[in-house]
Amino acid sequence: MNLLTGQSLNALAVRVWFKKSTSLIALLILFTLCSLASPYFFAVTNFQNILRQTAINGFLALGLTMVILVGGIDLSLGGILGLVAIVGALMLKGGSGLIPVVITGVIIGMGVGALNGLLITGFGIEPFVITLGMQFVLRGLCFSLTEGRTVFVEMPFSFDFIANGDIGSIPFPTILLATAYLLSYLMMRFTVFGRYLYAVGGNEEVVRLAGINNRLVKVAVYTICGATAAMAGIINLSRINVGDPQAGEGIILFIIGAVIIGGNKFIGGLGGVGYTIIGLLIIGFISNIIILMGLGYYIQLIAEGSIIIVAVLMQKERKS
Amino acid sequence: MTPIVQMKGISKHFGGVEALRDVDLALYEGEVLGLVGDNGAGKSTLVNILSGAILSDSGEILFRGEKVYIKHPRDAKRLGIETIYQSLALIDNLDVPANVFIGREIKRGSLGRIFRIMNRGEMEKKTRELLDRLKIGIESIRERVGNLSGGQRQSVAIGRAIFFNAKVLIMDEPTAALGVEETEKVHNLVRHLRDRGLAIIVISHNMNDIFEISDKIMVLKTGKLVGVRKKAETSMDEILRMIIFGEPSPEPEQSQGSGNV
Repeated sequence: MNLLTGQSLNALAVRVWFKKSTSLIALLILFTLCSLASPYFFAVTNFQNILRQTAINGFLALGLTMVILVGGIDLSLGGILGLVAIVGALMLKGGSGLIPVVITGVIIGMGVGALNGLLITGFGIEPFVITLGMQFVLRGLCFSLTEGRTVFVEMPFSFDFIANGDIGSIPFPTILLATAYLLSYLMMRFTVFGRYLYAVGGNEEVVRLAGINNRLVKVAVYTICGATAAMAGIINLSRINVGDPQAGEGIILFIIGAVIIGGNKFIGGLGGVGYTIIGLLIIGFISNIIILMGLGYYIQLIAEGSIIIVAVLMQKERKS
Repeated sequence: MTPIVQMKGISKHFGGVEALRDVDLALYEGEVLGLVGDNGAGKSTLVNILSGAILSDSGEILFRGEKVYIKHPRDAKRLGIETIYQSLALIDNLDVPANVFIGREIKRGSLGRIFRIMNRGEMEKKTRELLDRLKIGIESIRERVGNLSGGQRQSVAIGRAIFFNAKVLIMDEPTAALGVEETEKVHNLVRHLRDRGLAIIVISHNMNDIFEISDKIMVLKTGKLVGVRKKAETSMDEILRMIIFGEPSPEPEQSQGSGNV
C-alpha cells in the first residue's frame, strides 16, 4: 500500500511538472522556430522591440491574471486603458505634468475597478455582464470627452520616456513591467492576501465560512486590475503620443488569450503571474515573427486565435 | 457529570413541514454519539442547529450546563463546536497547511503585522506535528488537497476542525465515499480523538459504521426522538426496528433509554 502510494505520488509529481511546464516548453519551441524562420528575429533590437510592445499587454494581463485567479473576468480593461489615455492626453494638453497625469490615471483605474468589484459582489451578478456593460460606458466616455476625435499632444520628455525611454539597453516600460510582476509575485506567494486570492478562486464558500471577507478580497482584486489597466493606458499614451479614443478597443481578447495560453486556469484558483509572462511572450513572439516574415495582420489573427483554442483544449484534457 | 452539550426540547418547522419536534440530546466528553434515522428523520437539521447553520424555532442549548445562544457558525466555533460536512469544505487547489490554517494564518513578526506576510515554515511545521499527533499519514503536505485520497482528505478536514481546540466534533457521513481500508483509518482517528476527551457526533447511514465507533446510538424518526441506547446494551436488530417502526422495543422504556436528559 505504501509502495503503491509512493509510486502514484511519483507519477503525480511527473505529471504536475509536465503540466506546469507545458507552456514553457511551447515557448522554447516557438523561440527556436522563430529564430530559424527569420534572420531578423534573433537580434537585440528586435528583442527590445518585442519587450516594448509587450509592456502594454503585460500590465493589462497582470491585473487580469489576478481577476481570473479569483474566478472572475474583466472585459472593461480596454475601456479603462482608453479612458486613462484620453484623460491623460487632455490633462497634458492643459499643461499638467507627469506626476498629476499618472496619479489621476491610476485613481480613475482603481475607481472603475472598485466599482466593477462592488457591483459584482454586491449584487451577485456575473462579472462577464457587469464588465461588458462597463466597457461600453467607458468607451462612450472616451468618445464624449473627445467628440470622437484624436487628441494631439505636445509630449513633455519625462512623459515620453515612460514608453519610449531606455535604461542601458533595456526599455524603460519593461523595467516598470518587471517590477510590477516581481511585486505581484511576492504579494501572491507570501502575503495572506495572496493566499486568500487563490482560496477564493478555489472554493469561495469555504473561504466565507472560514470567516474571511471573500467579497473584500474580490473588490480588492478588481481594484488592482483597474490600476494595472490604468498603467497600460499611461504607457499607451506615452508610446503613440496622441490620445486615441479607440485605444485598447478589442485588445481584451488578446489579453485573455495570453493569460490562458500561459497556463492559468480559466475557471480560477490555479496559475500565477509567471504563467502569464510565458503567455505574453508566446503572443509577443508570434505577432513579431508574422510581421518579420511579412505575413500580415490577418494571418496573425488566425495564428493567435488557433493557439488560444489549442491552449483551452489542453486545459480541458488536463482536467479529466 | 454534566454533559458538554445538551439540547432540550428542540423544534423546527420548514414551512408546513415539521422537521423536528421536541427533541432532546445529551453529549458527554470522551463519547461518540451515533445519530441515525431514515432520510428526513431530522438528523441533519438537529446538528445544523447545534453548529449554528440554522436556527431552531424553540428549545434551548446548554454548553457545560450553561445556556448558550448559537445563532451563527461563528458562535459555535467560539464554543469549540466544529462541524465537518460531507463535502469536507476543503479548498482543493491549496495544499494541506493552507487548508488547515485558512482564515487563521500565522504571520511573521513586526513586518508581518503591517504587510500581513505569512510564516509558511511555521504553518508547515505545525501541520506536520498535528498530522503526526493524529497518526495521519500524508507523505507530501505540499500536495494540493484535491490530489489526495478520500481518506486523506477526510483526515485533513478533521485535523483542521480540531486544530484550534475543538471540544465537540460533528461529522456528517464521514466514511460515505471511502473504501474499506480508508474507512478503518477514519474509525481509528475518531476513536483516538474520543480517547483524548473530545465529544463526537457522527451521522451515518451505515449501521456497521455506527456500531463500529459509537458509544451511544440515538434514533430519530420523522422529527421525533425514538430513543437512545448504549451500544453495549442494544443490537443492530433493535436499532433497525427503531429506525423503521419508530418504536423502542418493549423492555427498556423510553425514559430509561434516554439517559441523556
